[in-house]
Formats: sequence, C-alpha cells, structure tokens
Amino acid sequence: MGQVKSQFSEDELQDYEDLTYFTKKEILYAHKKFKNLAPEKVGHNKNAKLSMSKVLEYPELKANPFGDRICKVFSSSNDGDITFEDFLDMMSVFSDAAPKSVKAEHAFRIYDFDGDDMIGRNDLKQVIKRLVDYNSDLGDNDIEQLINNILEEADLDDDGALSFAEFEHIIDKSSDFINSFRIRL
Amino acid sequence: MARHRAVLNDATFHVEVNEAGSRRFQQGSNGADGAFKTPPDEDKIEVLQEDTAEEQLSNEEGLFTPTGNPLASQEDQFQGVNVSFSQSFRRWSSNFGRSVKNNKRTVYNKTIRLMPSRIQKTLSIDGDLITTSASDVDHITMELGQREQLMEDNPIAEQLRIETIKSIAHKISTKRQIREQLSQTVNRRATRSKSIGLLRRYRYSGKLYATRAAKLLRSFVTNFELFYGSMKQIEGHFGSRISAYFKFLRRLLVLNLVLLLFIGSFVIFPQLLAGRDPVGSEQDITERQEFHLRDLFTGEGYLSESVMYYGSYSNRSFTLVPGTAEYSLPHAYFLTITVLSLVTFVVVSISMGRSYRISFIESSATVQNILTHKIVCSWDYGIANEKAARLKHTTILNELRDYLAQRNRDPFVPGRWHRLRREALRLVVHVTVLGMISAIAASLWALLVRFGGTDHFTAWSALYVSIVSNVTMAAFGYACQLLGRLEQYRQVATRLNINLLRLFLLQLTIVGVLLAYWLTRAHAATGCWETAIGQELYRLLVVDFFISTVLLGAARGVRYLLHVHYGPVKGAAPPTTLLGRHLTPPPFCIETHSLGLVYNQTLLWFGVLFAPLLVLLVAVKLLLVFYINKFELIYLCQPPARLWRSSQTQTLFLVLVFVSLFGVMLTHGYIIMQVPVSAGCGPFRGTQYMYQLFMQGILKLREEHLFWRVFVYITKPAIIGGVLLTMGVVTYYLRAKSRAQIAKVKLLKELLGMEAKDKKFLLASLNKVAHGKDDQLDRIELVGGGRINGPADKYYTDPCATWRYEETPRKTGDGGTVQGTVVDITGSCSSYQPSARDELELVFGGTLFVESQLPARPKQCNGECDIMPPD
Repeated sequence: MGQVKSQFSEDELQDYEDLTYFTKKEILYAHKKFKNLAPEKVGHNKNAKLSMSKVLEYPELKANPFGDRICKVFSSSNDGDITFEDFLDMMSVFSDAAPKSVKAEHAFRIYDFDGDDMIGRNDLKQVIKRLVDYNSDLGDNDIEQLINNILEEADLDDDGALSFAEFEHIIDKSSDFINSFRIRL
Repeated sequence: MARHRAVLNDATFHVEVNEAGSRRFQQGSNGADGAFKTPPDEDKIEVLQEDTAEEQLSNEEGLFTPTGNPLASQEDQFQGVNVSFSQSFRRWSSNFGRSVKNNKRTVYNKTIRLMPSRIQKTLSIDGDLITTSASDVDHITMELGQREQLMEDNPIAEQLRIETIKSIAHKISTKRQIREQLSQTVNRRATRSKSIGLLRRYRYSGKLYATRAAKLLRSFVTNFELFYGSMKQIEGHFGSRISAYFKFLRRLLVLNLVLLLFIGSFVIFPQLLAGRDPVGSEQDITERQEFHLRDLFTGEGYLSESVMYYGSYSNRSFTLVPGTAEYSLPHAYFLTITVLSLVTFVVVSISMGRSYRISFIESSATVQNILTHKIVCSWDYGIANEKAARLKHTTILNELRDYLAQRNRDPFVPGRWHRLRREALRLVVHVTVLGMISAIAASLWALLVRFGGTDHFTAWSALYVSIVSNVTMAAFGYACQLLGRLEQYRQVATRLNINLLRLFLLQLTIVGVLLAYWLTRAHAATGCWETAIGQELYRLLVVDFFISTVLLGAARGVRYLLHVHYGPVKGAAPPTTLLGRHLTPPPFCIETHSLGLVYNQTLLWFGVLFAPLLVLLVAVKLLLVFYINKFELIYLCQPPARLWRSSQTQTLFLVLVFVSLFGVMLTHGYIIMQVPVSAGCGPFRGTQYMYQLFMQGILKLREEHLFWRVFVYITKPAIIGGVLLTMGVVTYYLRAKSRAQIAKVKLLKELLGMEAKDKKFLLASLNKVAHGKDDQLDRIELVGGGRINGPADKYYTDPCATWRYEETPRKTGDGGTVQGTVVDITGSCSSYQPSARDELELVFGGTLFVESQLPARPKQCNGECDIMPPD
C-alpha cells in the first residue's frame, strides 16, 4: 500500500473523497485495482488513460454483457477509454454508498444505446439480446413481443419509448435494483 | 439569456417528472422557483398546475370540483382553472418553503434534474434542441447558487454542498469545477455578510464533529469489514442473491461479537478475576472434575462448573482494582444481559421495519411491471465469473421464455370441481403438517419425561434429547418439501414461504416444549435449574452444528462425489435410469440455511441468561458455518437457478428473527418476574426472584419508600387494565385512520385512472378529427408550435382540437363516470383533509403512495398549455 500511497498527495485524496462516495482507503484500493489492469502504464502515470479493451479485463466488466456500454458511459472522452478518474467515478456509482437516483441515472444511460435520451425499441432489443446472450435461440418474434409487453407495462405516455422519468419510476419501485446494480470494489 | 434557458429547462423537465410522479414534490420545486421569478406566462402556469393538482385535492375546492356543467362554457372553465390554480400555487409554494426548512435533505434529492441526460439535450419551447454541454458547469453552478442553504458560509452548508455535488451524475472533473466555482461564490458572498455569531458557531461545531465522527466510523467499519474477500468471491461467483444469505450470517456474527464484547468485559472477566467462591458453597462438596473431551459435546462435567453457566457465578461484590468502589457481580450480570437484550430487540425491530418498508411498501407497484423488472434489474453487475455469467444468461432466457409461454397460453380457468379438489388437498396437507408437529411435540415430551428427568446423566445419554429434536427437524424439512409438491401452488414464492413458515413453526414448537418441560419440572432443592437449562441449550447448539452443518455437508459432499463419478456426463444423452437422473450436484438451499441461522440465534438469545459464554460458542459456530458453507457452495453445490426476490425473502427472515426474539423476551420476563431462583447457586441466590435484585439493589427501594408504594400502585391490575384499554383505543383510532387513508388512496388511484382513460379517449377522438375532417381544420389555431419530434407528433398536430371536441356532448360512459367520481372524491376527502399528506406518509411509511402510483398524464396533453380559447 505504501507504494501506492506515494502516488497521491493528501490533498488529492481529500479531493477525491469529497467528489465520490469513497473513503480515502477505498480510493487507494481502487487505484490498486486500476493499476492491476496495466501495472506499467499506471505505475508511470497514475492517471493514465487505458483503452477500453484493457479496462474490459476487469472481471466484473468482462462478465457483464453491458461492459462496453459501461465504459462508454463513464469515459470522459466518450470513446470508452478510461482514466483513473473515470474508473473511480464508475466504482463510486456502483458502490453501496451511492443513492438510487444516481445509480438509476447511469443505468439509464447504459441502456440508452443510441444516446437519444430515450430507451426506444432498438435499445430494448439490444438490451434483451445482450441479456439472453447473442447466440441464444430467442426468436425475433419473441423479442418483438417482449418489447411490446414492456412498452405496454412501462411506457406510460404511449410514445413508444421509455423516458428517464418512466425508467426511474420502475427503478423506484424495485427493491432489488440497488442490490443488483452494484460492483464490490 | 442563460437564466431564461434555465427556466425553460425547468419547465420541460418538470413535465417529464410529472409523468412518473415519484419524488415529484421535491423536484417540482425547481420548476416553481424558476417560474416564480420570471413573468408568468401560459406555459409555466399550466406546467405548475400539474404539480398542484394534488394539493388541491386535499383542499376544499380544487380543479376537479365541477362548477355546474363543466362543458357549458369554454371561457369560464379556463378562467376558473387559472384562478384556482394561482391560489393553489401560493399554497403550494408556502408548503414547499416549510418542507425545505424541515428537511434539508430534499435539497440534494432535487439535484437529479441536473443530471446530464436532463441538461445536455433539452428541448426549447420552439422544438429546437439546446445543447448546453459546454456550459454545463456554469449552468449547474447557477442552479445550485440559488439555494440559500447551500450557499451559506458555514460548515453545515459546506457539508451539504459536498453531498449535493456528490449526487450530481457528472464526471469528476466537472464536479471539481462546480465545487470550485461554488466556493468562490460563497467566499465572495461571505466577505460581504457579517461573520456568524459565537453561539451559532458553537452549534455548528457540534454538528460538524458529529459528521466527522460518522465519517471516521465509516472508514473504520470499511477497514474492518468481515470476510471482505470471501464476500467478493461469493458475489462474483453467484451474484448478490446468494451473498444475501452470507450477509445475513455475517450480520448475526457481528451482533454476537458485540454481545460477546460486552458480556465478556462486564460479566465473565470480573468473575474470572474474582475467582471461585470461598469454600462452603454447595458445589464444592463434589470435587472439581477432570476435563474430558466428551464434556465439549455434552456440556457436563468440567464445563458445568466453569464460567460457562449461570450456576458458577458469584453473588458477591468485590474490589477489582484496589482503592476503587466495589464491583457487584449480580448487578452487572442482571443489567448487562437485560440491557443487551433490550438493545438487540430495538435494533432488530428497527432494521425489520426498514427492510419491510423498502421491500414491500415502497415496491408494492412492481407487480405491474414484472417484465420490465426482469429486463432492467435482472443482470447482476457483481458477477465476475464466466460460469456464473453463463448461468445468469440461461436463467434470464428461461425466465423470459416462461413469461412468453404464460402470456401466450390461454388463461386457465379451473372448474369448480378442480378448485374444490385443490383446496381440499391443501387443507389435508395443512392438517397433516399440523398433526405431524403436534405428534412431534408429544413424543418429545415423552422423551423428556423418560430421559430428561434424571439430574445426572451417564456419559452420552445427555445428548439423546438434542439429537432427537435436531434429527426430527431435518427430517421434517424434507417431509414438508415433499408435501409441498402436492399442493400445486402456482407461485414458487408462495410454496417457499409456506414451507418456511411450517419449519419455523416446528422449531418454535420444539423450543416451546423444551422450555415448558424445564420450567414446570419440579426443581430439586439443591440443584441448579438455571445451569441445567444452560446445559440443554449448549447441547442443542452443538448437536445442531454437527447435524445440520457437518453431517448434511458431508452428505452433500458424498452426493457430489457420486455425481462426479457416476453422474450424467455433460453433453451426453440424459440418463434414463432413475438413479442416474438423481445424481446431480446437490442444491444449495438458501432458505433452509437461513432458517437454521434463525433457530440458532433464538437458542442463543434464550440461553444467554443461563449461560453467558454461549455467545462465544455461537460466534465460533457461525464462523465455522461461514467457511463450511462457502466451501460447499463453491466446490460442491450447484447454485439455485431460479431468480428469487432476495430482498423480500431477507425481510421475511428478519421478521422471523423478530418474532423469535419477541418470544424470548416474553419468556425472559416471565422467568425474571415469576420463577424463583435456585437457592444454592448463581449470582442471584439470596433473593427469591431475579427482579427483586433490580428493585431493591439498584433502585434502593424498600417496602415503605414512597417510590415503592408508587410502583406497587402502578402495577395494580386496574391501572394496567386502564393503560391497556387506552392503548387499545389509540390503536383502534390509528387503525381506523389508516383504513380511511387506504380507501382514499384507492379512490384517488381510481380517479387518476379514469382521468387517464378520459384523456386517452379524448386524444383518440382528437386524432380522428384531425385526420378525418380536414375541412374543419381552419378553426384550429396553433399558438405554441410543435414541440416533440417523436411519434407523439401525430397527436400534436392540432392541439386546439380539444375545445372543439368538447363542443359536442359526450356520449360515452367514460366522461360521465369521471364526473361522478370527482364529486365523490372531493366529498369524501373533505372530512380529513388538514394533515392528509402527513398521514399518508405515516401510513405508507414515508412513501408518497398516491403520487408514485400516478398513471401518467399523456405527454401530449401538455399540449393543452399552448391552446388559447377561441375568440
């Protein structure tokens, strides 16, 4: 730990502590994890930018069907490349301490593939396909029916897409969301 | 210009939020703030009207109160709306002011609308897309700068500022800029205003220290989180649903460690320091026994005279540190254990209440959104293992297939005979289970009479009772599972819960029978019945560990080995033999394991009065169970493939813990007040009942003392009866009130449903008019302009058609019923309107139920705001 500590000054740690949901210890731990992804690069420059494929080696992101989406949402350059600050931001949002509203906002952006601020039919299709794994035998008709049913249930204003308010309405009522939308550091 | 844009954003956002409705009250304020400071125009007023609709409902006259025929005059209606609206707006804004004062937390809850997806692309009123990503920082800073609470120059406001900035969903760099700008503004303002007074500074410093302490505590807790690595491993392998069980286990372990800390330092340690009682007390007649390994299982022999049990504690007071006051062990014993039980009880009740609120009340609407939940919340982000990920994919796929199959199948309506048969079958199963439980109770009683009566056991025979009861419990579990299959409950969860309740009932029965036997047994004059109970509980706990953890774990191991060697090979054809099909890896049943923990904890709570060191035993046991279970789960068992609502099941377990703890408290109360203590052993010898020590020793009450008389007077039946009666009346009153609220909520929901239906109908007709009778379009006057570039546009092309439609009399039943309901509701609500909101929050545990249930107002309806009445 001592070696890691030397990369951050006390002020920087305080700064990160104020801006994320982590304690100083956890920030250092997060940095250790980040460093493990690319020891050379990060050892040289603590805020190095790692490419998306590198970041996707992080076990939780690797197993996650939305791993690339997560990287894109949290990337400050919007191309999926992740700096340490982005990584810290990501882990902070996925931590236990983050409130539901913050998690919901990011979940919405992860599921909003085309970035039009609505989860439309295409987004839903992508989500379902990724959830059941691409090479599964769930037919297009079935997916269509699922999408129709989802919209029937959750699209309160009948505009054929889920807005953030509708999405948040679902999340708000879910007691399991906060447990599942979480990555232990 | 920037200011103006902010207002527009407010309005747009506000509309969206109204559709979902949740937390509307807080968020809505922003829109109000903005609109309040700019010259009012048609747009904002209409937007705000949505917000205030509910306020009006709880007030005497509102938007929904029909004044005569609502269709009679267009003009009148519009004016009426505006008038009543401006009134209600004033009401609302004053309400809001109050709520902000009362609840500072709301401030950062409101920041949700500052999130990127709200701000980056906001539609202006002209339908253009405003992209403000460049000025994000300025924008948010400005928004936050308007909040007085945040901008004060004191530590509290700073803390609040930090919290608020944290909750903004932006990149860290953006947040940093925002924070810097804000602090600049604050400093600028601070130099202008005078410094705060000494008294206030003093007050702030207190609060500041409290927050700092909380922060320290948090970092301390995170540093010492038990099993951190193990939990991460389990979560990575099996997801959060399985790790919930381990969390439950860990929670109990931590609780027991805290108990151990207190009991150890206040009771056991002083006793060890003081040493054994001087010669002359009665246990010393028998020689001090040698230690046998057997004693660890039976709790007899050497252990029976150790600090493990009640009997060997001293009733003396002694000086621990020379020169200090005397330490009275009986008082320490009594106070430590009662206070700890009470505190545990409070902690458990609070956490149960919270868990119940979160998983049942606040999520009560999930039933409507089953599928969306399956999509949105189903992926477990904690999964970090490829195998687990594949399993998850398969599970989700199966869930979706089940769902589709259920949707596409014709709804099965069981015939009368079928239903009757099913009900009869269930009844038979219930009766069988109850019969089994009573048979078990009776045979346990017989066993106790046969083997439990002797005061001195020969070697291992002491274990008979505990072995039999534990084996019965395990066997009963399997029997129940088999019976449960007969019952054909459609929901898996129902079957599971009923099964759990049956097992729990059996456990309660067994513990109850044991207790009844021990307490009613005639006590030998020289014996120490407290120690005897302690020993029985010790044996139960030890045997439970060996049977349910070690033995069943070994059975699972054997099954796994069989599976590896003889089981079906992956990829090969499924085996045809019966044996072959059953050679699967053993399942890991979370429910049974959790129930075992509850049972364990019940025994501990009960036994801590008679054997303080049981806490240590249980803590060690839990530690072992944790590692054994983890090993089994990772190497031997297959995780359950079913998705189950972990939070609800966790709540159920908390409820069971609460129930058993409550029972334990009652029994302890009975023992302390009514059962005479043994005369020859333990810290309480010399008094007749345990409580007397408290009354006489601690409160220093004597018979003739005034307080004593007051106490005797208070405990008279008449007074207690009176108090109970009053409590009953109060409960009845509250219950009636909550029923009224529930009825009201139901009515409001109906109203909203009707309204939505009405709107839908209107829009459909409007659409028809727009597309069908183009020749009439010349009467339509478009004031606001187009706004949404989505599919909604098809409704929006002619917003003014609304008034046109209303010229024709309504023919459908829809409109009529709505009006009827409206009258009904305003009438029935008026009787309890004053604190309706508070009571709602009471009844529904802080959730604004009505709001969150809102079926949305169709977005297109906001188009109405652009409609001007025709001239």
